[in-house]
Amino acid sequence: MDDRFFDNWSTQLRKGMLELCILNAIGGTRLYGYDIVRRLREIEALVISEGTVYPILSRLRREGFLQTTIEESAAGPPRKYYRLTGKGAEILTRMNDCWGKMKTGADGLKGEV
Amino acid sequence: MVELSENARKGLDDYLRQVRSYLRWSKSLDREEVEQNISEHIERELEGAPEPVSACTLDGVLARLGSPRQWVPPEAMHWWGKLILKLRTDSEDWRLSYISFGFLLVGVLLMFLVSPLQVVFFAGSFITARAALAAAGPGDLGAQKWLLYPILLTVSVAFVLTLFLGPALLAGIIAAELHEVDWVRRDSHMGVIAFVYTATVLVTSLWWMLLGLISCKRPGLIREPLRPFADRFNRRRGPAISGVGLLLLAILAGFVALYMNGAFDIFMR
Repeated sequence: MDDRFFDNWSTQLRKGMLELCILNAIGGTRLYGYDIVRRLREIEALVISEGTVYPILSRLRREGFLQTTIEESAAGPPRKYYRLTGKGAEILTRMNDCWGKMKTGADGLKGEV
Repeated sequence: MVELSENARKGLDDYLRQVRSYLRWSKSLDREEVEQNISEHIERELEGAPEPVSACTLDGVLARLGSPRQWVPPEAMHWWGKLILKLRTDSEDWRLSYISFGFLLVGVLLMFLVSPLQVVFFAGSFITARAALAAAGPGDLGAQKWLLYPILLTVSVAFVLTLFLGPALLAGIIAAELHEVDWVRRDSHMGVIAFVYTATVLVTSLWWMLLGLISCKRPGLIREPLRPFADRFNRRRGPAISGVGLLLLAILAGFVALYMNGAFDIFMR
């Protein structure tokens, strides 16, 4: 019962955090999809199916937070690079701000267990 | 391009085929873009792997990539896509609930055509609803109840009415018929209404006392047909049912005694 509760809670948390992690992973650089996945893979607590990242990238692009450029690659198929737009950078700042406040607030509520 | 073994190629083709089948339900996703993302990801994952890449290696990559279904998130699906997906992939108990509700709707529609087939559909709806109930187990039914409760509630109400009042109705009808028979009319010394009333209440009180006893011994006989509405019915309810039966019998005895002593003669004139 406790495990199920924790699993549900952590799944919801991961879903909510994924977009923030993706935008932060891109940050001020330009990355292509696979590199973003690889960077997210390093966050142990995120535990995601790697395929979930790509639909989110597409959605963020459609919403104008990301822009893409396709470049030919000698090693394989053309690579699609993602970069934050101005609107994306702005929303990322707000999201980080919000997350920071939430984390600080939640940490402040912690007592002795 | 990374070279795949024949089995690995088949595995990849199968994965892409499944992704494409989900993409058909998408309202906004670009099929080419999704396939490009998949091939780019696989290509990069398999860089440096010994070629031709075996099916086993590719399976590991596809497993990390996740289910083909997740390439089309719910918000990118048409409503009908979500519905089909729900019907195709939800647990079996949900499908039973849909079937049960479907049978009920067909049964209701057939009522307008005065077809005896409606009984078959109602029975089918009830049986599948009970199967869904059994599959769902003792926990909360959640939203499934909106599909299952209409038929379960209808049948439960009919069952309760039949169980508690059926014998009374039957007794009333039989008493009304019997009163036409000469020897009954001669021996009963009662008017038709009093005779029917007495017989009905007598049978009801005796039946309820018996029901109370049955509930004490085997509460499941009443609880099970009424699932999930009478899940809290237990043997402690038995004395209450018998008590009501006994009370009815006492009231009837008083009524008959008063009747025999002519207390109601004033109304009979």
